[in-house]
Amino acid sequence: MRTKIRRLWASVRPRTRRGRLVAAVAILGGAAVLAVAILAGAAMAWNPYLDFALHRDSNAKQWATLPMSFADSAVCIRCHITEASRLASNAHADIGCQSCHGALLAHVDAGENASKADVMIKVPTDEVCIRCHAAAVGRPADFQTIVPANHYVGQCLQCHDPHTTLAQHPPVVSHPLANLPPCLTCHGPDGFKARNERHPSGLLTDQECLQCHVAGRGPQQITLPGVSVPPSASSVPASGKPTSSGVTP
Amino acid sequence: MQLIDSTLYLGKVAVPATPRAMRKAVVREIGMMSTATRVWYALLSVGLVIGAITALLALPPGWEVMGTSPSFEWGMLIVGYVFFAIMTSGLCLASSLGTVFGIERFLPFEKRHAILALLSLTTAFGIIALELHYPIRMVFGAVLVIAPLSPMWWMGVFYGAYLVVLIVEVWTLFTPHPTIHKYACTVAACIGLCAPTTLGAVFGVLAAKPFWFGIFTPILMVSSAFVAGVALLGIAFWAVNRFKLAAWAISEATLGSVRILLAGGLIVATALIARQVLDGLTSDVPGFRPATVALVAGPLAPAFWGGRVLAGILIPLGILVAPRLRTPSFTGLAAFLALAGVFVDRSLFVVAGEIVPRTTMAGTVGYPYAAYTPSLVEIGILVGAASFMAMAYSLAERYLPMGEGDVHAFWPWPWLKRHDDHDLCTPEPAMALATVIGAAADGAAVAEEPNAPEGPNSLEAPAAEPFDAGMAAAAAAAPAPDGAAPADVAMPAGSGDLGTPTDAVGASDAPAPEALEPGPWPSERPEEAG
Amino acid sequence: MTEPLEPNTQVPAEGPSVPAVEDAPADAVLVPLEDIASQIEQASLTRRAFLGFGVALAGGAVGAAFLGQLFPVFASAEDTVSPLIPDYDPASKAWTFVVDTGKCIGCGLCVVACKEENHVPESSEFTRTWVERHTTMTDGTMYVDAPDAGINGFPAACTAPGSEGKTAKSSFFQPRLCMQCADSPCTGVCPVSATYKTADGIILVDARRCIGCGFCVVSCPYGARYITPSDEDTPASMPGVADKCTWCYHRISNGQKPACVEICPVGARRFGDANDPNDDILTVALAAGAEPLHPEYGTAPRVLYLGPTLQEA
Repeated sequence: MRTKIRRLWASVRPRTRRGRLVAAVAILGGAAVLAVAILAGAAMAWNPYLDFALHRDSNAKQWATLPMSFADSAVCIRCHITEASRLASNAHADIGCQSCHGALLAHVDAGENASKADVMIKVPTDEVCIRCHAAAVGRPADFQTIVPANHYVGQCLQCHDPHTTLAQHPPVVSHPLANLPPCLTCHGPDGFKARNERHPSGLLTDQECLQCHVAGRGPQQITLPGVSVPPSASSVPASGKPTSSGVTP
Repeated sequence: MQLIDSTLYLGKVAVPATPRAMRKAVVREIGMMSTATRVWYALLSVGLVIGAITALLALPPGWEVMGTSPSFEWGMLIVGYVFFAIMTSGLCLASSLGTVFGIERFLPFEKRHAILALLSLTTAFGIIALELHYPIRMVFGAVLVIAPLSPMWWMGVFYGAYLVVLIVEVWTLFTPHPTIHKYACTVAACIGLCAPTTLGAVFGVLAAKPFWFGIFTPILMVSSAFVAGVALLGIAFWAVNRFKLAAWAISEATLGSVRILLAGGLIVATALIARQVLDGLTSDVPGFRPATVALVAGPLAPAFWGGRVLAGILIPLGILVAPRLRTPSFTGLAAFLALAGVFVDRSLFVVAGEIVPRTTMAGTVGYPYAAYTPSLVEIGILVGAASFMAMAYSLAERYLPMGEGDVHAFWPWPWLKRHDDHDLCTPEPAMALATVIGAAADGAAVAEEPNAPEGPNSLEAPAAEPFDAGMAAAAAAAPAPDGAAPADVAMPAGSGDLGTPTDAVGASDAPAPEALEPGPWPSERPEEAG
Repeated sequence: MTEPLEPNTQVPAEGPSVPAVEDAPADAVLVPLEDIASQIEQASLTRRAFLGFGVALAGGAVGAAFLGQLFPVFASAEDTVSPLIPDYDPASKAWTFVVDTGKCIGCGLCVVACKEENHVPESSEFTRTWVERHTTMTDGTMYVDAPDAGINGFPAACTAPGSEGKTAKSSFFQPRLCMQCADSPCTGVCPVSATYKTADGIILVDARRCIGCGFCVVSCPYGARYITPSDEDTPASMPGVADKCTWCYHRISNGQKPACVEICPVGARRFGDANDPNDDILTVALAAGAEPLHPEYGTAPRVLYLGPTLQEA
């Protein structure tokens, strides 16, 4: 080994004064340049205060300082006292405002200048309600759900107030009967607005439906142009529940 | 191949390094080719064009050109990378039996193995550069920051070092640096064992993919590497023999060694695959059994039984052991099938690992199997990669001096070497010259001991005294005025260009090989020695 | 360099000697040394350059280390100006995430909120959080479905292939997100160390360093990661890098709750700081028997689950 090193040195050592000078300048100068280059590169790469550094903290800082879109729902009641009080004692009480109205941080940050323009969803559409309240396998049994196909089709907000979770009766529907299929097509069990359980079970002909559902009678008012009250109408009490004519409630 | 004074020397051809002369040279070369060769190069060029186009499509990060998805993140490009990477290691593993351990029966082509290994690794790196979304970052990130917990980092370290060593090895094959070449071969053989192990560990540490997980995956990868390397060498053997790329034929011993190695590798691979299938079918680990069932009885079954087992193992094994099929062409066929089987094996391995996700992956549930279809871009890149390697190797065969016979065995345990052992270090004329130079300039005593020149493949020559042999080699390296290839004398054994070996010094009674007329390929030139 | 060569002077006294000319074999052709002098020179030049560069590089490294001591280019550990955000001490936080699968109704608002808050790509293939529905049929088979990662809620019946026509016996929803595992496989396998764990236990990805190899994606047994596509709107605004749920790091480090927790209408997701004396999230969760999900994966996940999912095998 020593022999090898000695031979190696013998083959590379500078043999002239000029050679020695060149070697010294090259090695020392190169070392100096490389030292500065390595230090500058490392400083740029690892300095935590530079944005583009590879330092972990600078990257964590980038992740930590991203802009937010959602606000803390607890701040809504500072201004929206009415809605908050209405919400306070019903099923939607624990739901944050943003669950229906979308991301509201822009609205909150606008402060006194906040307006409806900052609100993503001012009036939630039906999809917002259906998303939670459509009946689906997996939803807890004590959770209110509907089968959208059988529920009144209109706007959820026509009858339901999400802030109080009270539901009114669906509005009266102007319901001309010309050119329509039989009542049970839409109001049968497979229809989109099924009869509720208070109806007599079993199939009924249109005439039997119309015993109650005529203007001035029954729980639902149907306006029928030119249709007169059926003969057995007189036996129906004003409350709307048919008792006679063999129809069981 | 040398560039001296603005003139490029490619074997017999001397071309001035100007565009016009280059163009004329290319036209002339194509004119000199046979039709089959032209078709071959044309097909490869088409493949290269396909690869170039698809590579350009794959370059922008985030372009949705791959068939991968969050539930199936590693696809055909990973398969391609694994395939070419293990082929590289396998070449070194296979040839290390000869070069490092000195078992002369297993001496394959030295130059061809080195060039094939370098090309294969370059191809693998090219494929992975296209797969990674930010490959340049890998260079900085993996070098500046160590990640010792990451098997992929170790894989990068080993394959990166492997690339450097291979470049050194190939460079020193064609330049007079025999000592460096010896050490490079040994280091390459060591890395050739470490690198596929870490590549297997990349898959083996993933508990999230039970099909890949476990200690056997690195072993499987090494065995695949071995089969792939031997198979590629077998194909190279066949090509050399079939197309007369060297002026001598494969001897029975070499052919037999290829058969033994390939058969052994296939048997080991079979055992490992059987073990994995049995383990999977009887395992309780969630996800392992469904993945194995998918492999042997599910959507992957046709590829597994038809491609991997039948075409990749049974038919090659049958060919290799059948007594009447012991010809170079059948061995080449077996090697080709075995190599294709390794590719099918790697792709089935990658796909089976991901096809039954253990959980919903980023919200995607695949029932019952995760969906993956290789996109055209991925297929195009693989086609381009294979074409690149084939084209580069064809050009190397055509224009580089590929004379064999300078196998360097690095004997790590000198006290085991007996004096009457054939020593397997046979320098080329260039290296013999370097030996003399070294001896003169440094008084080095590590002169290679050339074999006494005999037949091309018989290496039973007694060890010659170093300095006599060195002087003889130097003497022989001097340009012989009689026109007989100086390589005849200076490159004793295993030379690729011996037309008449019988007038070499110290001929023994080894059986003379079949004499083939030298093919149209460039032969050793004196100027390459100097 | 055209110094005269004196090879004889370079031969050391010990070691094998150069063979003498008269010992050469009879048929040897001797090559004059002058003819190969240029070769020696060439080899020496290469050797010199190589060794010289090596020495210069070593000197440069030593010099850089020395200079680094002189000039404070790196922040020291005692630096009071924290590079992170002000008034936030990550090490003092013990963030706790609790998911109650008994309360979850599968509305998917958490997925919507996450996409909105974190600019996650719109396609349902890429999501940081999602909701699964686990349905057990009357014949005992269990199906998991997550249509569009649950972003539009869930249809009435199970959508998993093979579940058609079967009647569900029991079912529940399982919200999923990154578990920020204590023994995370994803941080270990990154070859460029792009993903790391902060002092408050959140695992983040440095998008500038990530090479998009996907190793972390395949290493996560919970499937929480993905590689960002080429949407214009991606977290960290970079396609082709790994991304995952960060528990809304930018929110929790500012005293807010993650977006999915904020928006959940039924309180199925809850979040808090176990080290905060005013926050009893951990005690409440543990009292209710909250446990991590799939602890058998061995990654020590840190999201605690309640409800029917704990009875699932």
